[in-house]
Amino acid sequence: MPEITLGDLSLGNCVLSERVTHLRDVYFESMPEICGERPRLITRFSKNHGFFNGQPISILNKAKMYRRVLEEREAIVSHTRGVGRDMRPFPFEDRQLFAGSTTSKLKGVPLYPEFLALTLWPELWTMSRRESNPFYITEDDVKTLNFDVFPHWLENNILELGRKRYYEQNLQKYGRKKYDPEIKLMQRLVFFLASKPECISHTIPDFSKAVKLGLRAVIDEAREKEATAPDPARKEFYAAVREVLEGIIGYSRNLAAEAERLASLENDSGRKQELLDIAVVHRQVPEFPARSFREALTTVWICWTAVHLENPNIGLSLGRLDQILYDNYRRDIDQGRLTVADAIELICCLWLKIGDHVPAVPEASEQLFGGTGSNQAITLGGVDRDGNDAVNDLTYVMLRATELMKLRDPNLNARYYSGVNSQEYLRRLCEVNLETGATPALHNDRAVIKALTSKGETMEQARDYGVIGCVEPGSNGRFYGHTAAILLNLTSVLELALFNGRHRHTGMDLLISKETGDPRTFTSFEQFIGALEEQIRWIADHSTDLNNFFGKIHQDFYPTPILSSLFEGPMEKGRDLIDGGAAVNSSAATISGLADVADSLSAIEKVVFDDKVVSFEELLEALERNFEGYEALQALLINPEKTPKYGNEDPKADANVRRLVETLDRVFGEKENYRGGKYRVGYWTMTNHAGFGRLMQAMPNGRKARENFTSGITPVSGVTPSLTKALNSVALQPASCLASGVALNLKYTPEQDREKMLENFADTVEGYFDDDGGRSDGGMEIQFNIVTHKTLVDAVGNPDPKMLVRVSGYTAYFKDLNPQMQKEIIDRTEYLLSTGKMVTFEPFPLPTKR
Amino acid sequence: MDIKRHSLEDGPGIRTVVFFKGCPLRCVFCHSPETQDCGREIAFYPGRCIRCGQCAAACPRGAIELELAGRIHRERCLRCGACAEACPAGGLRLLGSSYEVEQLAEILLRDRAFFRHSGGGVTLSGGECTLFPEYLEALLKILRKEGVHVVLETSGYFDYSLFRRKLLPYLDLIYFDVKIGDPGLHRQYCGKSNARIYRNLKALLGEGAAGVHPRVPLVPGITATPENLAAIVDLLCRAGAGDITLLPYNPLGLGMATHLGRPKPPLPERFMTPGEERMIKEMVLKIIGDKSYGCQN
Repeated sequence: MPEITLGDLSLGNCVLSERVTHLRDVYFESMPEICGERPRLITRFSKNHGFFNGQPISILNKAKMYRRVLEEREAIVSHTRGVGRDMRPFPFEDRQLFAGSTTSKLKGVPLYPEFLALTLWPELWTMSRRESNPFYITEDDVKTLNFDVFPHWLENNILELGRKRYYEQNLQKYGRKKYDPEIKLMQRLVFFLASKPECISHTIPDFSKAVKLGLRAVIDEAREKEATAPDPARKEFYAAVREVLEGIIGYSRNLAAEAERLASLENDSGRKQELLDIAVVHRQVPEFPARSFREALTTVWICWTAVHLENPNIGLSLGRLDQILYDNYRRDIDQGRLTVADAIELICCLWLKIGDHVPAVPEASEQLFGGTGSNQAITLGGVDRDGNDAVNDLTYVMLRATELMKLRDPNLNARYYSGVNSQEYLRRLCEVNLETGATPALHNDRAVIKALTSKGETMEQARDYGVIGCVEPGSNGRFYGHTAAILLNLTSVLELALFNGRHRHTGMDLLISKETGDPRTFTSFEQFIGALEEQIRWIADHSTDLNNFFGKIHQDFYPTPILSSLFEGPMEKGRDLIDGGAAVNSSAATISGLADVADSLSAIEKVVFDDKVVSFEELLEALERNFEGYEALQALLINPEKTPKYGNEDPKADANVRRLVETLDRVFGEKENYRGGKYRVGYWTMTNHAGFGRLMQAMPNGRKARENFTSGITPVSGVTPSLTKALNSVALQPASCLASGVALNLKYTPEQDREKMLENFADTVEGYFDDDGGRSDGGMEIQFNIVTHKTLVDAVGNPDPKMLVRVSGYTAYFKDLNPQMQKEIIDRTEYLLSTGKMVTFEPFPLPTKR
Repeated sequence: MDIKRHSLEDGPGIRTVVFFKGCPLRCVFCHSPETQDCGREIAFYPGRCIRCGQCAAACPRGAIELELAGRIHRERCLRCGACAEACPAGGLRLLGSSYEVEQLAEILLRDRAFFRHSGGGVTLSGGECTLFPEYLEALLKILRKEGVHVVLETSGYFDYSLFRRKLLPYLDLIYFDVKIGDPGLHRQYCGKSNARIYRNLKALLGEGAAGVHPRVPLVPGITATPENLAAIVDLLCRAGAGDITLLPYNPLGLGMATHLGRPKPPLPERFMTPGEERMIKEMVLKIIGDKSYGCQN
């Protein structure tokens, strides 16, 4: 167990250095810029090597391509320009301590034409002027993409390759009439999104070998394994590993050479020395073991850029950095080569580097994903593999850096094991939340470990979990679990049950799924539940089929030698991650609208079947009319004192939630994925619950058309007046059904008596995490916005570009969110901790349709 | 009765507070007027009313008039609750739920994890909860068995021997309100003399009962006057009290009188300022100093 040697855990004396202050200012001033480098190099190599002939692409060919790109891409030690909010470039002096970059831009948008980058094609000329989250692009890059890149990928991106094969297969099987049920279903948008056409990503690499042994040692290991491998496929895998690792080493050497070149031109002796220091670091790592804290951070950083060269920047996560880097930190501190202030500066510089790229969101996707960063989660604290307290000095150093920087990326997640981790640590986590208003998210080790072991992870693997993307737990460096494989809109499944297999959004004359009965003829609530469960099974069948299908397309066209070389499992098995190389494999669905569907069930149960206030026919009529002329019925349905709502300890309402999470876990859990793993289910919704909300009509829980759905596993906004009741209801849900993570989103009003608030904050988290003597599993996760309603309302018209908010689960800048999502955060249930009561306010007006 | 969860103001830590309905006193400055009467009551919240008229249709006495500011002709109302039952929006609400002892205990135990981590527990309040000694005794036995910390808040107006026998053994802390020192003024403002309250306090302290904390609710112009504070200090001295807690005035109970269709009491509508609180505290300290008497706040 590491000894805590810091006197002040808050590290209040450490502030932003001059260097970091400047870099941070530039970061906030600069707009994202499309980078043409990767697409250009990838396209050229793919063309030259005949990748566009429709045949599967071998891992070795892919590896050769990545090596070439790594060696040929521009080695940038310091940026010289950014792009301002006025969309004009500005020069600046970059004195970053870390060299290298994810793209060739200061804040770049990397493009992956193998996936969905083509969706940006129509807006190449206009994206720099679009209203929400515009991207800068140079005329040269427009031309390159327009003429040299995109045309080649039109037929060869993953979606298109999949679509072609899918049509061919199904045409033979079903004939012309019904040849594309799943893809068409996805294209209807309201049911589910399968994200394989966009990426797999969503995982945590294993940096520990790279840091401790260096990549040269991994290359040597691969060479030995290659020599003794029993079959050509494995030989090829190890050869591919060697190729890509040589490429990463080559990139780092290029950075060293560039730093030396810049040093030779530099007149300022201070900067000259900095550049020479950078060169020394890059001559050592990541090829050889890291000798210092700074070298260890550099290894992580360079490997991180390489992972992003291969895998789209969506949810790739860094894992337990306070564990992986601790030995190097401790050694440097003990030997007097590093001060805590130096360490904080290094971490701040790394945090900025990690945020040097944003995902390419086309305008059409702004409704569902607007304002997202790359969601690069970092995990702190918790217990180690043996169950001992893993919180160390570096944990506090990283917390302080996060508190000072208040950045969207990296997305900070803190683990807490009650009774093992100290209360001072929990208190500090709460304090950073008060300071930043939005981070870190808090994870309950006891419940998460229980959830993971219930899915087959060993106790050691489960204890060593890191958080992926938003909130998804997975064993650090050994879990390949595409946690965002299926984004399922559960409210649409309810819709199918309400309208006998049809959906109001797609038209009542179109049978979407199967007829499970007209609820107007149902005589019991159980009958309706039965219909809903049948619709759930139907959607699970189709969404997992589609995911598995695209998984196979990945296996044929998108081998991942870089990620596989930095992972536990593939080296041992001689197999790529996409083929099941990881030590732990799974896929997952994440569910939108849990609380809305559960409350709708409770409303139907109470109002239609128990109290018989209205018939099912009248209820459907009211929904059809969006409650116009049915105001009293709507008032009854939304009133938690009259109609049971999840989050109030109402046994029936909570049982309906439990029934849903158990059904979803059972139905998805039976499904096998294409990598020899099973499906898991999570409840974190990013900004989808707002996006899906816009498309959906009125619901039986009294929600009107186009209103937001509720985020994650959170009870519906505004219907849970008591804090502990809400927390207890959430904590009642069984952890084993929530293995792909949950986001519980609450707002707390900032209070004047900070000390008292902190104490209550920590005590309340403890109470929520507690398993109450085994009566529940305890809540799994909780995350906060600590901000008043008024501050948010004011920010709609007059946004502070630096205002950080917690979405579900990642952090975002409030101003980047679309109006519907801004409204969702404004309307979220807010509690005053000192009374435990909900703060009441009028719902924010629904944004008008554009 | 009414239950408030996650309270931080009624004893140490995070607490669940039970407000029993019914009180022998009728303090004009009562902070929770809905707890005076032990019967059910109907409260009207005009902001939540959607004017659907279902209440008027449901009322067996024709006591509801949509155009009436307070909605209910209270003189005709039987408090049957039919209107609140019919109201979909929460504009009319029935105040006062009843629970079996076991049922209440189950609810109180739901937050035991929060109690444990915060050093909190259950607070029995009111109204005057000691009006129900048999019920409380049964409840307290369950809470004791579960190891829950219990605070009892009282006006001090109770039957001492019953209290001592049935309740006292199970209490961790007693918050004992002393509102007015002069018996005549006490009768004027609270409806009864304070003689019994004084006797009970003195007896309780005489038992050597641990954790008896006299508290003085500060109401500007009524309890927070130099004369009354001096009289209270005098009373506490005579009773042998060792400390005193001042509760700053808050106007949060004023709205409830309106919801219940009662005249609004002539009391300030704002909280005490920190300056006013400090001034009163200094005043009390000075009185105590003159009497060489220990004080805490």
